Amino acid sequence: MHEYTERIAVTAFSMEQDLQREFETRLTESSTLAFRVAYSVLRNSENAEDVAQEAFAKAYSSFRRLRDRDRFRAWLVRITWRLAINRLRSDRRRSLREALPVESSVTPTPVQSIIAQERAAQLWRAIDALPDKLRLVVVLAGIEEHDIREVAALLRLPQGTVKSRLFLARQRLKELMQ
Amino acid sequence: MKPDRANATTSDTSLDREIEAILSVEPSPEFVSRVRTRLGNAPAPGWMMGWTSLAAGTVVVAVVVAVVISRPNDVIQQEALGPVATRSMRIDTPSDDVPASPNLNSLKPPKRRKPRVSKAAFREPQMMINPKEAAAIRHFLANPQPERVELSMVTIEPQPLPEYTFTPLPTFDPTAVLQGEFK
Repeated sequence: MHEYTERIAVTAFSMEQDLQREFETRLTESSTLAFRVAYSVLRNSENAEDVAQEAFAKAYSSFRRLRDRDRFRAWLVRITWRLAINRLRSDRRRSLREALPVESSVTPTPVQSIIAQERAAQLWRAIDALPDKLRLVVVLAGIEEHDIREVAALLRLPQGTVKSRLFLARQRLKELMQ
Repeated sequence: MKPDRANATTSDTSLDREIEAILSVEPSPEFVSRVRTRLGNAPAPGWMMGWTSLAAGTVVVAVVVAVVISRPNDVIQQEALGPVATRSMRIDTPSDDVPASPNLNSLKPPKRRKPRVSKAAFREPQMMINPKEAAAIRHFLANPQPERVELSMVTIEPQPLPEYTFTPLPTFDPTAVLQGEFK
């Protein structure tokens, strides 16, 4: 009897450890994705990290319910996107943040830096003006060089839909950037 | 390739590069470790609680089953006898204070009570008192003697004992067996 109980407890414990290990792997490989998705909405590294953390916490709490573990990234993207949008909506200091210079990693010279910052700010404004469904496609295509197939997998959409949305989004962006 | 289309493709590519550039922001190096810390401080998730509670429940059930199986027989016998004694006392002992009146209005069949045995029943043996004796004691206590009897006035004459005669026991000679008298 005791052996049987012990075996059940050991099995349960090992399964628990397997799940934790698996989540750890997912966390390592998806942390940048979650951060960038949050950043694309919030455009503030600190806030983006907060939101990404929250997304991971939510994902962790219901990781077991995720039947298809290969869909973790898609799941995480949706959670992060939703949380970031909510955060943005509840953030009353949005207008103040928009007035601040946009963070950029490409700043070779002061003049180029100013031009690049201005261009980046213009692009962000254009992206912000897109409807959500087009914006998400553009952002995901721009993160980690995802191709159409990967974006379709992340959003669980047909590739044709992603392609057409990406085309529409680019058209709109070009119009807005001119 | 037509010039317009080539320009469009070039502009698409440059736009994609620009978007990639503005999105190529890295989280701080401590980000992952901060997430780990937060997850470590967070309460156990539902799936972990599920496994933990399942394991704990299994252990508890196993312990209870082991205790029940390894119980000594005398305890089980006491448990078997206890309810019988309780039930018999409840049924047999008439209540002197309140007479039992049959509830004729009640159409429901009498509920069969499941006999409960308290822990005290296992520690001390139950007192079995004859109901008639109990009723007599109660009656005696409720109705004291009306007048005292003076015992010094009572004289008892000794009665003569009857004559008793002893009849002698039959005797036999053990040597008579050897001589074949009892063949």
